[in-house]
Amino acid sequence: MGNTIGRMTGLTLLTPIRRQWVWMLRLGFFAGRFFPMAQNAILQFDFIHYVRWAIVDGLPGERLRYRYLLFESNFDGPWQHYIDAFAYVVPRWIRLTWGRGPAFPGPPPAEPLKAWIAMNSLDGGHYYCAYPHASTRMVKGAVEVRERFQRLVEDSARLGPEAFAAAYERFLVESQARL
Amino acid sequence: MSERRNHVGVVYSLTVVAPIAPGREQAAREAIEALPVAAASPLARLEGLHFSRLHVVSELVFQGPRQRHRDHLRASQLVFTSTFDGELDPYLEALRTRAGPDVWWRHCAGYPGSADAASFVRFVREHQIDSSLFASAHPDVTVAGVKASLALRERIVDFAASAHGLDAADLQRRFRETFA
Repeated sequence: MGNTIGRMTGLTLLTPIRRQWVWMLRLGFFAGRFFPMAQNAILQFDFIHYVRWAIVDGLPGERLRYRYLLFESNFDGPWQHYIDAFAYVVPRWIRLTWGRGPAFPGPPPAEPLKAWIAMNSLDGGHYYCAYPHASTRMVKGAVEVRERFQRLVEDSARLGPEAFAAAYERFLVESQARL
Repeated sequence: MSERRNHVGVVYSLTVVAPIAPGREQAAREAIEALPVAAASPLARLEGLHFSRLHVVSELVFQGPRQRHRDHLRASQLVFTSTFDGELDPYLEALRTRAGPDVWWRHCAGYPGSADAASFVRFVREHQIDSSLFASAHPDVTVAGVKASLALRERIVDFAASAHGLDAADLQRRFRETFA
């Protein structure tokens, strides 16, 4: 299956696109760049750090009869959970993206999709992550805490002890889910 | 326009697919598999690099009878992807001078080596495939920002444990000594 390091998994797929649907996929990706709703469909899952799609129109020296969709996702946790979430929460979105390829098993259920991904996953190689033990949720939470903490540091200089203690308690209560 | 497609927030997505020279596929695979991993990876020398992957594709997966035509690759392809902070040219310069990319790309047809910056950049750009869509859960955070935030989070947790039960004046004093 995809490469792993720490709690991260890198999943890469390279799958053919039926010729008549290439334009539609391009249109969908174009729209996805400008309408956050489209990206939110996939980023609503709190385990994806980065995800990319690239339409491969051709390769030097190759005579390919299809265009190909290169997909790469970097996420935390086992890929089976990742696919379950996609198959049951955003099946229409998944069908719109990969349903333009031959033999794509439109979810749900998730099991045929898992088999299809296992068949198409590009394995092996070398995988690197700068923070392999930090889940997406940890990263987002830590960034939010850091921003809020700056205000507390400023408060520590301007408030009296009692007022600061109250601000500190408030900070801990409001941040505890992210700590 | 195409450059913009590779960006989201402060991050750039680079995808490079280059053909491996005839007879060099196994050597390319071995070179990639032999790279040290995690903090010892040569890619760890690139401070702004979030994720990267290197692998060899020898066959395009046939999807079964519903795929009317079957494509075969004449040459195996070396796929290199990177997700990094900032712009492409500074990243390529860091990659060229610090990560030793000859280890993997020297097996590719037409690779000029990393000694000459212009030739190296030309090779990468010639084999670059633009992202059609690139998205991130934390697009505006650099690697340094991620690491600093995670480290601060740990310090806050440690402080909260050690400061439990202090009166208001001691709490503020300890807090300022630790963080201000």
